[in-house]
Amino acid sequence: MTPTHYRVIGYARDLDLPIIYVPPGLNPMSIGREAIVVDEPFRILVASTPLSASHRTGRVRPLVAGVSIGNILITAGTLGWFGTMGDGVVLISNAHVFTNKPESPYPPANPAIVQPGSIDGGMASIDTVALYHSHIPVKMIDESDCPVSKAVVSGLNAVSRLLGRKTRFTAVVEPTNKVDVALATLRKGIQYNPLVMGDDGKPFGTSGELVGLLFAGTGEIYVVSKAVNILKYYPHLRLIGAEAVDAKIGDRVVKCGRTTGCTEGEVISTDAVVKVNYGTGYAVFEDVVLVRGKSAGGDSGSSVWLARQQ
Amino acid sequence: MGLRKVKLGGDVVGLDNTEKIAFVLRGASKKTIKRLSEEGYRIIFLDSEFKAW
Repeated sequence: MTPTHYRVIGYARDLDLPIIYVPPGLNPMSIGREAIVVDEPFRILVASTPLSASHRTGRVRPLVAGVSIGNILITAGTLGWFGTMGDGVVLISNAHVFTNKPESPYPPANPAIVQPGSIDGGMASIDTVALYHSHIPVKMIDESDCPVSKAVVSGLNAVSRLLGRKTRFTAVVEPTNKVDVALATLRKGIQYNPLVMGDDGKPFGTSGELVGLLFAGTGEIYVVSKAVNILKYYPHLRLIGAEAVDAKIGDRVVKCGRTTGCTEGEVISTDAVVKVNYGTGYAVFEDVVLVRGKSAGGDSGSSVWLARQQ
Repeated sequence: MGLRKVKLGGDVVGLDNTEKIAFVLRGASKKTIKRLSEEGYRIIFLDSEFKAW
């Protein structure tokens, strides 16, 4: 197909994107530029680019995993997977993707979950695919309120001053977390497919064995909340078409994230303790999986699967 | 050896106490590296801390 088959029929000023008409039978993902793609005037198919991974930042319907998503108050993360809670379908991602204050026990001020995420042009008026359901609060490292600890620290600082030293002590509480996870209730009328988007825009064939959700990384190593732990926090959550499994050191895994696309990695730890920078503070996580593999900002929430056997 | 419990802190940003792996920021002090080595930890150096993506 050549781009001459497509026709620009308008311009979305708020998204700064052209609106392009695609005749029936042409693949909307093959357009050579970022655009809102329609098959009939204003029946939106997808906002896409043909570049690897970048079509994940467009408007994708039916919803699939591995695409840009987030609370309207954050930039963007990745839609991890789908589940059910009672009769309703829920979207699964990170607490810091579905709420702007993952450390708070309260719901976010705005419950709108938009796809794509706001940094990718998602708007509450037309892109709200789900509403915040709940999250497991991330407990941050914080100053201690314990009077005994404060007294001890005060004494230590007094001694340090007497000795003419510049070192000062602080009492901190260092609670541990196991998961960074949240759920959002799919809105009525929003279609979804329990599939992961591959780098070509087509479904990526996973093993169906879910290790967990990516939520942090260094670029070369990423951190995964175990799916088995997520189900302990949400005992009524049922994964759709997937099974929570434990990984072993040396296992090959794969994730498809909003920013770095589908990448394979190797499990290097299945029982790690890590300190994670959340921007507003630090949090300690235990019983997490570490993977040597590529990730970057925006990949948070990606589902991590055991790679299929060759 | 093995009597002192190694904990997170400073340049030590990750630990696997089962497999005895320490994730340490590049540029950590020689003292930290020596102590981890004495405790039998394999050290993996990182260019940056773990960040919530």
